[in-house]
Amino acid sequence: MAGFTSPDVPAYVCYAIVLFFGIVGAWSTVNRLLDGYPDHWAFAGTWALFFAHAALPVVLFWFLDYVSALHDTSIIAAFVVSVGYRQIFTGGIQGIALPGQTSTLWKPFEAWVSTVADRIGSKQKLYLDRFDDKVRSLIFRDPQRMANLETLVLSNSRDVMALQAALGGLPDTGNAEANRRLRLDTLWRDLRTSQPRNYGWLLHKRGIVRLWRYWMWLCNGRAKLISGSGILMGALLLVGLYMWSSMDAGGLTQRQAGLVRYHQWRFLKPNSTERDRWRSLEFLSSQLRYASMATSSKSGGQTNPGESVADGPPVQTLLSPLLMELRFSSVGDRQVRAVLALVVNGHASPVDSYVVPELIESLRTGSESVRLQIRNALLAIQKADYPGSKLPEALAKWEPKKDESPGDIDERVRAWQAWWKSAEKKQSSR
Amino acid sequence: MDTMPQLGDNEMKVLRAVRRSAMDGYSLLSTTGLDAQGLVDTLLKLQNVISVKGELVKERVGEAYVALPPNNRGYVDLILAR
Repeated sequence: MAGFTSPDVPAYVCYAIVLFFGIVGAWSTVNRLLDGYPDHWAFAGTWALFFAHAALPVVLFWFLDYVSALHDTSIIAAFVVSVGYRQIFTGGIQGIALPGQTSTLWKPFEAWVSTVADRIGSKQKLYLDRFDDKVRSLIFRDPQRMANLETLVLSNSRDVMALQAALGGLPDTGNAEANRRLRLDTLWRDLRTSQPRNYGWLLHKRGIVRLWRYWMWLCNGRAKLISGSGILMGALLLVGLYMWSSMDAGGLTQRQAGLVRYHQWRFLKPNSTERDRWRSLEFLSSQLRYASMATSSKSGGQTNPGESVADGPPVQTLLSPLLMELRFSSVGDRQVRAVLALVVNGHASPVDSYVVPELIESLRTGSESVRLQIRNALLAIQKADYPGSKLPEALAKWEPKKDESPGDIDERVRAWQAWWKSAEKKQSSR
Repeated sequence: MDTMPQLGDNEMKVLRAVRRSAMDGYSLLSTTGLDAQGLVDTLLKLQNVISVKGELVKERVGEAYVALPPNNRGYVDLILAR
């Protein structure tokens, strides 16, 4: 699947596709699994099952990308995973194989479905029993209701003769309340047997049970209330999320800041596609340009005529996580080249004042090849932006080597820092 | 559930009913046309296939709640399709 030719789109589009189909699929899967259980949306377990089913394809999509079984920018892979994630788990789709024993993860999931179903069955029974208890105690306490029940049962009984015989044959306990309880139980059982589905409605029609109680307990009222509240909360959450994303976060909206973080992630991602890297490079380069223009206009510098100075993220926000990677001794060669190309191509005084000290400090990295590339980048910036500030001969000829001691490296770092101090001073005095 | 059991009419009636929807014993009595003792006997035979919440005695079988667990649905479909 990794070599599959597919339209390459931003990863967030693919994740949105997987999430959308995941939600639709989860709704239908949960309804199919629990269709034997009326009122199943009234239970927290059903909702947990729904959210797990909705999240599962998204997690699987991320995981398959993580193990390089596919690219999370492939639109076809997004459709395949969102529609066939169950088959992927059971190894039924050729070309997409989960590593190791991952496919066995589906088994506990199936066991969970059974547990939820069993729990719903127990709760349904409990609720029916509670409804019965409540209604029977209402009838027991109210003679008028008792009379109404007797009329209702006699007019709806499947076998009136047998019912009358049963009522006539009830023993006299010598206790009026106990006698009434026995009579009520006999009537109740006959009503439930004769009208197993409509008994609640008939009780309501006779004025024995109020509409809300009947609706709540016997007409899926709880499920409707809980589903309605769930949908309302979901809508409120979306509105809240939109409002939060428009809030200010250090000169940027949360949405802009999120987009910057997204592109930083994509830029450093080891197994991203060429096109995906190019998209992030374009985004970060343009943001770097805006940041540079905004900084120089604030400090009274010149901007190109006809180019408006847009609000962009500060240089530090843009580059800090990228430059930080250079200090990691096992950073990938591709990432190092990409980060250094970005900062060298985006060179300008406002950018340099953050980038150069960071690059100099990154010379302490344990990898001599990374040190060499950083040194080359520093030389390129020096030639481009600070030609008047010559480097000391020893520093210009310095070639990072494998066996350099920390002391040697520290000496070079201090020499670079001294050069930068004078170059920056000269630049600001102009 | 390794081998297909030989099931009688009553068992098939109960399985057909609970395959459609979980229900209480009163509804099951009405749907299958069984009497209370017949339903108790049938549910006892099917207790490895279906889930029964409540007491399986003649006097209280109406209050039991009977369902077909999702994991057994395929097996029951196979039985009903024979």
